[in-house]
Amino acid sequence: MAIVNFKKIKTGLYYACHPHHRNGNGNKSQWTISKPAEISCFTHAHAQAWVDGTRAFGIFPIGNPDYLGVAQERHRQLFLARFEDGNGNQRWHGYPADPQKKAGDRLSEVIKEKWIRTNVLPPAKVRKLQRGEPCRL
Amino acid sequence: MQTLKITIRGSFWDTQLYKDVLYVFELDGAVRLVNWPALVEGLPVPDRCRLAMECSFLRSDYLYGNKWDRLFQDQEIQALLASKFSAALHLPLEVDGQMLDQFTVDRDDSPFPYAPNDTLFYKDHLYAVSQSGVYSQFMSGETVPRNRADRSWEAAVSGLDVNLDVLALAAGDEGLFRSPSATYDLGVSLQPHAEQVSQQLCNDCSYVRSSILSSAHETGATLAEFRAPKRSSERSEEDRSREFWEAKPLSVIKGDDLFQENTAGSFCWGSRDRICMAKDGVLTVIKYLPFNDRRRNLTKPVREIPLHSWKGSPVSGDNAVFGAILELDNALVVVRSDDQVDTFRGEPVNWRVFPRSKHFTNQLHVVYEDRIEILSFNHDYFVDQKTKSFGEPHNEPWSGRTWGT
Repeated sequence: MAIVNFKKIKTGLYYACHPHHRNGNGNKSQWTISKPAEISCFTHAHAQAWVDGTRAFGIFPIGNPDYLGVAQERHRQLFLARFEDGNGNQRWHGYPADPQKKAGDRLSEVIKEKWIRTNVLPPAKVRKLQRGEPCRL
Repeated sequence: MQTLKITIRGSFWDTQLYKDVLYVFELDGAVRLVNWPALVEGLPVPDRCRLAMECSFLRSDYLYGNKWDRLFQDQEIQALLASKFSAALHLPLEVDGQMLDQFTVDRDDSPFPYAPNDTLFYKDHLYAVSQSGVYSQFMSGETVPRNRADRSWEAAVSGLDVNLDVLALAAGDEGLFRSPSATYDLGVSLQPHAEQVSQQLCNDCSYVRSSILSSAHETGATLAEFRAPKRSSERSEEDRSREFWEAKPLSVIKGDDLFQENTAGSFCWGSRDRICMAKDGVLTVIKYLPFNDRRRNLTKPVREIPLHSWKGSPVSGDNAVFGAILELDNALVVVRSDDQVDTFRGEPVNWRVFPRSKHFTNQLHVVYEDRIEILSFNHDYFVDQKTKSFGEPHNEPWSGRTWGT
């Protein structure tokens, strides 16, 4: 069982860099950005209220997103981060999302609308993510 | 004849065109209903271009059919028609916000989720699929409904198609599903529901005859084969729909067996009897053979053409009567039925064709961030519909394929 260490982001908000997404686990997508960058990605997503219940989504760096991870089979680069607060107690972890293979990794209605209206990503990119189409930066 | 274009300025998500109403999904969350014939006729065009404008944007069916064959064999008549389209080609067919308002019938908040993944018109109902489910709404064409659309299924769906009142739904890693349409007669005791057809990853789906092609870039394609219900004078359309809905797939065929090569990493799509695959810089078209015509093979090769590498990898595709449309990373490509290739650089927000309409089969709507380009392709009138490689035949009768105007 992997040890998960939560770090306090601010009062009542914690984040852990889950080892499964950094240890080469063949069943998990893997981060290619550093741990501080992963935490920064989450902190910004939370601050921007890109949160829908126990799910949140982020990109990194803000304003000029770049790839932040690779898919489970490693040959595709990913640029969308998905965060989860599994127990609903503000203890979050995250991973590079793969909307092509997992419908659950696509933006929720609420976050999709926010992202298009505030131009977080161009609408063409959002359409591709939501339809599970290949989406390159 | 050349491709004509009307440009509508603004920030939009998607369009639909049904029974002479242009439906525009705007990025602010509104849906706008536009009187399409009035808008086209309101464009400042000289009289000599009126026929070309009408054929291009209002009545794609005018120049099809056997009745014109003798006339079209006449080189002078061909040249005269081409000259009328050429004259229209040089006109600035631009619609600004003020002109769009002038021909807007109604505009209000969309009854559907914001920026749906896909939409489809069928029997006066507009269907939209989104991350939160499958929605339908009767659309009169006169007003935007003030109520929220009905949700028939709560699942993330990225694409849909319909045939004989049965929706095909692409539900990602949940697989391919079928569901009765809003106009299917369920009877009093049944509630709408969806049934899984295939568990394989499905990000897009399309009917090929009465079978359903399921596609996902990572895993490739599969074809769930369904037999079409027979027609007879004693059987109503409702009877056929019921038989079709209650049918189970005869088989689920791997894309590798359709194309004789691995379809993983490709994008596949189909319509009528054509199945297309874009992979590794090549667009391949095959013909899907109906049960009665099969001996050894399920499919027959039709054509292959190479694609320029700068255009990127395949994203999505669809078929129209004027050709096969393929979206790549950096361009939208139309492989025309006359074997010419038109390339439109850039990354569209959305794009759409209307192969099942009666009057708009020649149109391609491409939404970019600051405009919609409504393109009209007018070469297919002179192409032999029986032998063309790319695009659907215009005059092939097939039940349920035409349901709009």
